[in-house]
Amino acid sequence: MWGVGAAAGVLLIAVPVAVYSLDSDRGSTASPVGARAVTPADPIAAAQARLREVPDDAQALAALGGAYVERARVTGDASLYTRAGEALDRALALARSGTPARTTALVASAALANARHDFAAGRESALRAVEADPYHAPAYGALADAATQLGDTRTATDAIQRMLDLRPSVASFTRASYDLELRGDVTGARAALDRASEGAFTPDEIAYCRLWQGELARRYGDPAAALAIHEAGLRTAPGDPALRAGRAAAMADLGRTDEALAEYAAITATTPIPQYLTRYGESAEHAGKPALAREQFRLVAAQFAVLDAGGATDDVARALFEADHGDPAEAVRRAEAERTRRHSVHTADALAWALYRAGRADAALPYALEATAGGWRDPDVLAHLTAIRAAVSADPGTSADAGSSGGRR
Amino acid sequence: MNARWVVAGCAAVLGAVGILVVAEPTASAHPLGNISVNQAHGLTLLPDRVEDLALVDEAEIPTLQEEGRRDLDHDGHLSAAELQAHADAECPRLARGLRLRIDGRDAAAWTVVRAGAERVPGAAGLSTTRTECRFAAPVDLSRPARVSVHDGNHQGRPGWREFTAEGRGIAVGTSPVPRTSPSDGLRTYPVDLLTSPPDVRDVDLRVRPGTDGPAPAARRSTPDPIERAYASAQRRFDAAVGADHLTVGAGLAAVLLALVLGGSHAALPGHGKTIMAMYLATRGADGRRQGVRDAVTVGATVTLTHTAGVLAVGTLLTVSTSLTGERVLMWLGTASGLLVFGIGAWLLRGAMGGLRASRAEPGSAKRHGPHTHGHAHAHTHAHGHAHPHAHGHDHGHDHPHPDPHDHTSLALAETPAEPAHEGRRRTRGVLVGMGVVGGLVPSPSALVVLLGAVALGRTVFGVLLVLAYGVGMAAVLTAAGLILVRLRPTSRRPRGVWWSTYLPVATAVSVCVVGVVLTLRAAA
Repeated sequence: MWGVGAAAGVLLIAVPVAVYSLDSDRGSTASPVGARAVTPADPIAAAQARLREVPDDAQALAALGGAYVERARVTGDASLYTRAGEALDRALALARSGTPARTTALVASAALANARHDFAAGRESALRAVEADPYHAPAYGALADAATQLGDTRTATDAIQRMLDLRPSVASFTRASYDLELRGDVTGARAALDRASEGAFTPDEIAYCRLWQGELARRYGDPAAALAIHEAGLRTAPGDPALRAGRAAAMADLGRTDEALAEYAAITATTPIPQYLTRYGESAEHAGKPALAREQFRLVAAQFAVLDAGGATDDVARALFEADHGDPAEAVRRAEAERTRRHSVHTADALAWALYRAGRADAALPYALEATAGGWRDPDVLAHLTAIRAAVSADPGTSADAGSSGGRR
Repeated sequence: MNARWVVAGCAAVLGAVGILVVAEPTASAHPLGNISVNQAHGLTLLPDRVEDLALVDEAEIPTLQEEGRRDLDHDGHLSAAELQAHADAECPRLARGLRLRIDGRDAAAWTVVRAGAERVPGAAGLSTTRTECRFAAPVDLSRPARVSVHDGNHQGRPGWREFTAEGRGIAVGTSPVPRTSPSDGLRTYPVDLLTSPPDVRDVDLRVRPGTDGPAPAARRSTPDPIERAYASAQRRFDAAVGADHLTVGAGLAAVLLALVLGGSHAALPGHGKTIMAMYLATRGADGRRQGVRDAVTVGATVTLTHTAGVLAVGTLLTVSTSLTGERVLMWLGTASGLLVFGIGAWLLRGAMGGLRASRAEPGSAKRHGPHTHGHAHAHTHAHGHAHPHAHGHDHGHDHPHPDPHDHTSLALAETPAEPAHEGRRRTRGVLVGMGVVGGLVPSPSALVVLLGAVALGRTVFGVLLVLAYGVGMAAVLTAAGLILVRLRPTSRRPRGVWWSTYLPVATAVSVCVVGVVLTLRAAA
């Protein structure tokens, strides 16, 4: 709030001056905030409008960067990350330390790094944001995201608790839900999502809650409930690709294969990102349509090739994909590389599965156990553990050929 | 069942904190993302037809997605013949998805004049596809017409969507789209942080035979220091409302700042205060300079209207997802302009009445005016005074030095034939109308503040801030009027009957004109 007095002083002087310049009809569009950019639902347009008035407004630049990251999450349009990076670089160069603009810019930078899966950089920026303003709830959100992925569970849990204390909101309850799930408390995770959805206000927030409520229900064995939840979400956010993908997965689990495939085809026709393409391919494989499945896996491989060309890394997703649909040796290489960067349950599971698929069940077992040691009961992670255990006990001493004899295909 | 494991595993790992795996473009990848499908339509309007150059730039992944369908002999690469076959199939499809209407009626179907496609090397050894189609549709643009084009192709795909339009023998006037492609026909995509990639799906042109002048130079206004200061204060205000902790001090400061912001908003141009000041000044010319009560009436109305307007629009925008702020503001702007016109007409009627009266009885006003007025008082006013010069008191302001000429002009300005209470009611009505005009269009900043506060669960605080904002606005509008009234020295008031007779008419006419201008601009 410092400087408010000064600003008010300027305005008090400015007012009479402006009154006397009654000449003017520069009109309502010349109103200071720019009447054209009013839609409060569009933070990008709002920030851009502000920047047209005040080009070096660090706060607006930081807000713009954050809004681009969020928009990229919703649309899958990764070109926005470049824009976000530019805006945030400028914001950080302009914002003096100790100003709210600097905190906002640091939090948005952390979110951008997390979105690019550079979680170490994400944690770094988030910690600086927390240091700059210990009462800024979003800073703890970005810190929790990075720490969770880095396997620093204590920091993650503490950050989420702090965030809940500061501002119980959709953002904090959904993170709490995921944290609880990773520690094996599915009931608690469900309750946290229910709390989140009670506080959901905007259509985006409501859709986000429905997405994770549905995903949780489906993964822990209730696809019928999941389908209903995703349908409800789609009534709030018609056409949302993530919700549609959830609906398709629930349909597949319910045995409504043709509907699921049609849904996946529609989603990937507009949003062909690896996540949805992989699901589509696997559903097609399951439905006995190997050609259709191969087509999707080829697209996923192409996406990863572009990622590689751009120097980006997403080795957990890449390892799991290679393990199941590509080259298990490549999967091991990727998983090990990611494992050196972060010791999380996710990298443990990915490495275990890659090793198993590469025929090294013995080497895989410790990692599979590590992934579940903290209580994580994800059915798929448990299935990995079960398959690895079976391979090890079936053939103690050697784990050769585990990949081809394992139950995955 | 197998499928589910990895699927869900991926989802759990990647998705739970809202992280998507999306390939990020780099120098080598498609600048708009490797899943984008980018489109451009270059419209050319001629007297007898509309032509369109339709371009589609598919990034790597969409190209790969379509490859199976385009690679007719399944040999793994697209031959020139296969590319041409793709273009021959794609262009008619694009034409069907492009709806052309003239004056609201569907025009004749597009004819595909030319179709072509080429592969352009992309990232990671992949290709992108560039498809070019030329369409033409016969239309009659030999007289002014409204040309609307809607592009329904590739809905839902992320990407750049631009329209350009130019006329040949046809003037497109102030077109909503540029004449030349900002992306050089989807070859280079400018990255400007301040503009999002265009997403134009509809174009509405009002054209007429003729030619346009040279393309207008890009308008770039630099904000003056006042606007900068305003933007800065506004930002602090938003920060205070959205702060994690709302202390009493910060809350009070925010309310104070809302007052100041409201005041300075009213002081910046475009707020109907010109008319308001003009009106109060006119009243001063009429002689009834006792403007405080009137000004307070206006101020109170501004505050109430603005607060009610912001609350109503805020509620509407919160409840409805299909309404946009711009649209609502446009409606309110139109309503406000019409109201100004109405007020102008009203003033004009009164002024014309005065004019007729003065013409009917030349010179009589000077002698009989006070008498007429006093007569009306005796019948209708609770405050009625026997003293013919004391009529000022009923406005709650004392001016103990009545000037005979003032009274003369007053009598002229008011319609002598009209009972005084009628005139008073009209005056009150005009004042309330002025207030409504001043407050009807919610200021965007107040709206944003309210919605922000609502989103943060601080609805009551938001309402309070909007109220303070309205009070600030009202104070400045009122002050502006009063200052102008005071600034007109009494002794210098022209004495001629001519001046005082025609000034109200001229003012009323100019108010009408301003109303028309405001309406047209809001509706444009």
